[in-house]
Amino acid sequence: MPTAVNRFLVLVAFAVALFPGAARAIDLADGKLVINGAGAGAFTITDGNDVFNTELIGGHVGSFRNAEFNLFVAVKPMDRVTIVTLVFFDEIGQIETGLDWSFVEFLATDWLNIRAGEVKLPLGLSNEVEPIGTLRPFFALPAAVYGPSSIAADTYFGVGLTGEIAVPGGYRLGYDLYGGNMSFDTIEPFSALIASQPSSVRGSAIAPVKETVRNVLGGRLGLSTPVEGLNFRVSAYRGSLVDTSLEVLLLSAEYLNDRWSVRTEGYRSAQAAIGNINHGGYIEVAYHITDAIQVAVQADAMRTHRAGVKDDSQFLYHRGVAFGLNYWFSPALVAKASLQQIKGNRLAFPTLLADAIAIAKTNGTTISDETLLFTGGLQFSF
Amino acid sequence: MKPCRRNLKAALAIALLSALLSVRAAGDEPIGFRVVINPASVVTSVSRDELSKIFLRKTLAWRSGNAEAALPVDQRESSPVREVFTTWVHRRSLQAVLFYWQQQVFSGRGAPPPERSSDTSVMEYVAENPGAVGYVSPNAKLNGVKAIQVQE
Repeated sequence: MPTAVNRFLVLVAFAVALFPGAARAIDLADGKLVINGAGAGAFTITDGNDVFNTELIGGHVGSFRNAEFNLFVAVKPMDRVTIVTLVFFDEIGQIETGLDWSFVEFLATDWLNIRAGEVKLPLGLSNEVEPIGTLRPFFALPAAVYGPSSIAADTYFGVGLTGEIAVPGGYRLGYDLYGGNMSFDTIEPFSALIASQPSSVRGSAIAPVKETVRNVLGGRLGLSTPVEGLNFRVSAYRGSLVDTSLEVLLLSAEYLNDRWSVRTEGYRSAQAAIGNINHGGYIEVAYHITDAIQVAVQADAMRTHRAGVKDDSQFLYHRGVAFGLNYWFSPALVAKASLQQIKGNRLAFPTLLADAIAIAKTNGTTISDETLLFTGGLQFSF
Repeated sequence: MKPCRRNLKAALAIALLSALLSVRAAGDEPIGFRVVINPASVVTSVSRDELSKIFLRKTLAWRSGNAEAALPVDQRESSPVREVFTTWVHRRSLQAVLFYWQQQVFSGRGAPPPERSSDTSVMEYVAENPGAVGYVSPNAKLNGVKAIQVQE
């Protein structure tokens, strides 16, 4: 049954479609106050296991509880100073509202900006624009990289430098350097296999957990080539968890033009002291058959090595292949449908996993390591 | 080579040369728009590259003109003038530039120039703001602004 949030979003989406002239930022005082927004709502259903991604949750009982609305407010109190804030209203599984990020930016020179506050984490191709569905072909970002996979925090709280410089030959080099603290969602179904973990107790539910990373030092280098739409990035950071360090390295490449969208990313993260290693990546290709109709395909995979869990466990790997079909009413409003076949239980498993493991053991069966996920929804921006 | 093939090659060469010459001569701006600035500005011409950077907010000041703050003003997405301006100045499609601004805005990295709905309102904005720059239709009657050349 569509929820109230979903009904609201559908109304806004149709307003964007019917009045495309109004589908632009709200610009007041000649650019001193600019308000933009983005929203999404989707229906998801699987053939059994529950699927976890940061913008999407799916289960065998179909659900409309995948909705969000974000308001971006940028204020320029002075020529070189901008204050940027994101307010969100989410219903992804449960209802949440709040301030996602808020920071001050000072434009020191054409090639150096200084940011301070709760700043969107500059990681890879899409982390900063995660809520904006009109910038990608699938409803959700690839879960292997941007899901609860222990590398993609929403924000860091600290100070950062960012800018872009021209390089001979028609290249542009963009950079980010930052330091501070961050927290990200992580989900570890394999913890149900470890007797000392709370999630191994019957009746307990596996859910994303927030991990805080302190003393983070990180950066991103981006290379825009003379070939329009061809860009490369490398992102890395290092920080401290409670009982270990965390090191992340992510390589990214994309080619975008009016018809084609090709993206690929791969990463490795390591929590060396406790023997946790993750690596994963994806490749995604989308093509506009017409201005309105777009087809897309995506393959993603991740692998976790965890001390104390057998390496061949079905709860340590994820492989997904998805096919998508989209209808773009305008660049600001799109209807998307996709079907994803998932192998492995790293990101798809019964929420009451300890119970499911015990029942399977009693019956002499196994938990299915295959999951089919259907997603259908609307996304818009203004 | 057969005479008809030689003639075809010559015809194609002439057509290509004509097309190249008809774009514009060096130093002339294309026929699809005129760039206008505040009359108090000392800027007399601007390169295509600098103009693109100003409108993409990659530079905040005029290179000439005593490093005065550059305030670009766009026309609406539906304006035919904007389409021509975008293709010639940015060397990208309008969709590509709109995509660029979506990424910039939603990552908190910048906001696009303000938009105005007509040549008249663009000229009003430029006339009222020192350092402002906009573009209008080639046959627009200039009022309170001055036109400058765009160099390739």
